[in-house]
Amino acid sequence: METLVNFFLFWKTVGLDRIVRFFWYFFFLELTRYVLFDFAVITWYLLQKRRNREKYFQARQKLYAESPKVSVIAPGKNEGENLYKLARSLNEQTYRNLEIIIIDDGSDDQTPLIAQSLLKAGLIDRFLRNEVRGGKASAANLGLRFATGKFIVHVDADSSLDRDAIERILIPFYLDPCVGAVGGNVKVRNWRTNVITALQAIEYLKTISVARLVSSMLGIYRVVPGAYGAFRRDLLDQVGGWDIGPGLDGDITIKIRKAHCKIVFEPTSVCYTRVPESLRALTRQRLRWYRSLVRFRIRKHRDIFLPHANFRWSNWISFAENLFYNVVLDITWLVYIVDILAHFPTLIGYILPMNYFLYLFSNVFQFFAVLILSERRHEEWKLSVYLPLIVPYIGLYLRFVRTIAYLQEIFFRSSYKDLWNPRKTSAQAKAHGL
Amino acid sequence: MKVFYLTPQRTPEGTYPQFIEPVEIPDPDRLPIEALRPADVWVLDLTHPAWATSVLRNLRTFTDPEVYLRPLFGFPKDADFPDFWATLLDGSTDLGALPALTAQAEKIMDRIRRLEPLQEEHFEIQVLIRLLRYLYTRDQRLQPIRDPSRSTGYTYPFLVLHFQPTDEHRIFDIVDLGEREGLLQGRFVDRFHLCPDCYSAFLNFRETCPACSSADLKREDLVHHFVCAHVAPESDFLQGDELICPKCHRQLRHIGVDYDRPSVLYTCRTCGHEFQNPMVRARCFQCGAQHLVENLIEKVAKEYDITSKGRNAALSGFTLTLGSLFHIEGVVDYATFKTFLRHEIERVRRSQRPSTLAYFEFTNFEELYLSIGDRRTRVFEEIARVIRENIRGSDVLSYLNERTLLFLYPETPVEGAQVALQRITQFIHQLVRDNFQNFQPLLKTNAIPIDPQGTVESHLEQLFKT
Ligand SMILES: [Zn+2]
Ligand SMILES: [Zn+2]
Ligand SMILES: [Zn+2]
Repeated sequence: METLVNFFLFWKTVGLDRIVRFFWYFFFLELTRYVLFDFAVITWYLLQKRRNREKYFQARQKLYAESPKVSVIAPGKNEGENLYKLARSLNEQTYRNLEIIIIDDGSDDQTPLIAQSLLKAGLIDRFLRNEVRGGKASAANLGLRFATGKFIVHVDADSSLDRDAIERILIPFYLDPCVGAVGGNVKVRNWRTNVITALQAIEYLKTISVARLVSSMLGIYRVVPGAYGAFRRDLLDQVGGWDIGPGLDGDITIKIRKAHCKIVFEPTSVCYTRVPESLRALTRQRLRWYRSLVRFRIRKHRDIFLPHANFRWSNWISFAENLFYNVVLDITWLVYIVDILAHFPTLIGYILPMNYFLYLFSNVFQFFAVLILSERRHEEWKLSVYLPLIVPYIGLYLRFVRTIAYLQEIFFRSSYKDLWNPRKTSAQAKAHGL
Repeated sequence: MKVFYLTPQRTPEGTYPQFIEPVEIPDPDRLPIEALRPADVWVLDLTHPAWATSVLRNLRTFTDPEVYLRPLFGFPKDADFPDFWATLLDGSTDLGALPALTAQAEKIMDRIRRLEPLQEEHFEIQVLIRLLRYLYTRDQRLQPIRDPSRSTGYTYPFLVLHFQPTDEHRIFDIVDLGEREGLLQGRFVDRFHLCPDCYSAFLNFRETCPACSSADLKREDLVHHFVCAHVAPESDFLQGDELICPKCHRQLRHIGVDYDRPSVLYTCRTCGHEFQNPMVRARCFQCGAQHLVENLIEKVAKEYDITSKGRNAALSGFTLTLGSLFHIEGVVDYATFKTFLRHEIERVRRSQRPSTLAYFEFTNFEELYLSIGDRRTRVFEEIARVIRENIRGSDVLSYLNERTLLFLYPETPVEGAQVALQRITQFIHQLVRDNFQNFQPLLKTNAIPIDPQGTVESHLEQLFKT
């Protein structure tokens, strides 16, 4: 009790200039980018949405008047038990002209039998199989080869969709003919399982729902999520489909950007996906994701930064923002910690807890923004009990994993050793510097 | 022992051993049965196969057991005679070696004499009993024969003689019935398929297009180029002899290193459909119809041994259960009975009016049956009469096995059913007491009310528990 009183008395006596000095990282980088800026953009989005209601309605009319064939491709390995949920949710769609294609990438379990029975029951239209595993990109490309739709919706086999999801992910193509790809809003299906999945659920809401909306509004939206996105088929053919992963979702988005097409995020088109349920599995997944950022942004697509015929400022900003907020901020954060330790070693006991409160405050605010946008406020409200843990989760755990991943990839090119891809394909990718 | 030699035309005197009497049968469809009867053993001249098979068919399908079961050997031993027909002989022999077969022939004749007159009127059951008798008199095992001249492919020679060519598949119903009733014990030999339209086994299985059923398919490998993750049919990659990737324009050099062939693609030349899993369909050579494999009739060819119950049936000429035995109208089979029971449970749940399930078992029925001899027809008619008198039109009657009857009494309380059952058992006791001093019938009955919350299974379990 006494320490708490001390704590408040201390901060009461400190002047504003000192506070900014103590928490420069939070005020200049966190608060501006994630709180003030986000709120401005969300307000803008909501206003626009209201203003564009008529346009949106017309686009929907246009979609249904044309009713183009849409191919849903779902690649996966050993996802048999999840396929039924996915197929059911696809058969419930308000948009009916669907072609549902399941691609099995060399499963060694019951998956082929399950998929065959779904096919027989008429719940899916096509079942394709690589007898030999070739990696996710090759499975997606196999699906693309057989898809006959004008649009391709790519979903992970362990996901499932809201019943109006497909309709809503297609409308942006009819709002703006320049749109080449639309990212869906991915949420966590198994958030009730444990703290780890609940924290990921909050993280997904924050980054996928809000951050992506913001970047989409700014025209710098980076990644059509691998779990759920829609593409114009002609564009996919033009860029040759998916390239070898990991991070193939980010990679194909870049390729479409390079083809001068707009990429937007559609927050109202909701997909539920399963996330890792143990810390171990989560760490492995995140190492893979963060390594791919280095591999694809810094290595494979570094030409984005160079002035050449295909140069575009929006691409440059998209890349730069991404790199800045991930790589540079991670380093700056270290600088901040060192700064505090070096200059105010005696005040650590005051500064670190205060940092926690500031971040908590920022997260509560962002969560509030999420709820404003969400179609399932009443449900997601329940996640708020986990908010106190979100600060160490994002601020310490994810930041730590991310830093390790960057270092591993920069110095050891670890992504090529990841068994997520078959060895044979990684060997080839490495040999060709991809 | 008297041996007759059956031949289409008599050869000059003196070419036969002494104990053999030749009988000339110019027309195989007009057998001189009465002239043949005095012999113990017949020997068939196999040197004219067409004639011999006709005689064989007519003898083995003859009504009288003394004729169709008679020991019948072929001559000469090394005759070129089709397998199908050879199985209907008791062996081939040289005339000189005939005396050695006497014992075998004696045994068959002895067993034929012990057979009782056939009771059954139903054609299938008659054929089944004829089969049982044939197997019993010879201690033979029933073997399925592969015969390309029969439409069903697999066949049982003795059985199939009794059917028209278009009905030959019914032989499998006969052996199934025998196995179901515990008269035959089957052992797996092979599995085969029949056309559901015409029962022909002559089917052409081939991979077909799932969309249009055409068998005109092109099969091609899919190629996966590792470095760019492109997957496409091999023809997309082929440029002359080289494999060039259409996506990244690199050359594919070494399978397993820079590319592989993860699966196969079929293209239908008729409708253009592309697919990975062709459907196997069978075209019937007989009627031309095409069917998916899962829609064909699947049969198992088994070899059968006669069981002790089967031997009893062969001896007595009597096979079936109490229910069909008594020729009571409206007896349903067990599966149908269970369906009725399920509906009845539902009905009770809705109407709340009581119904009753009951059974009646004549535990030592077989004993009685074997011991009462000539009077059995009368006794059974009496039992049938009392059962008939104690059921109403709305009651459902079925049989669980040859000695257990099941009753379903709709809208009848347990007490009512018990009265009916009691009348039946009292009557049987009375009947048996009056006729057979040494026999004590073992009768069991039970009746339970239909429980609206119960299942078919729980009812049957409850019924037999008490
Ligand atoms: Zn076809
Ligand atoms: Zn290639
Ligand atoms: Zn046929």
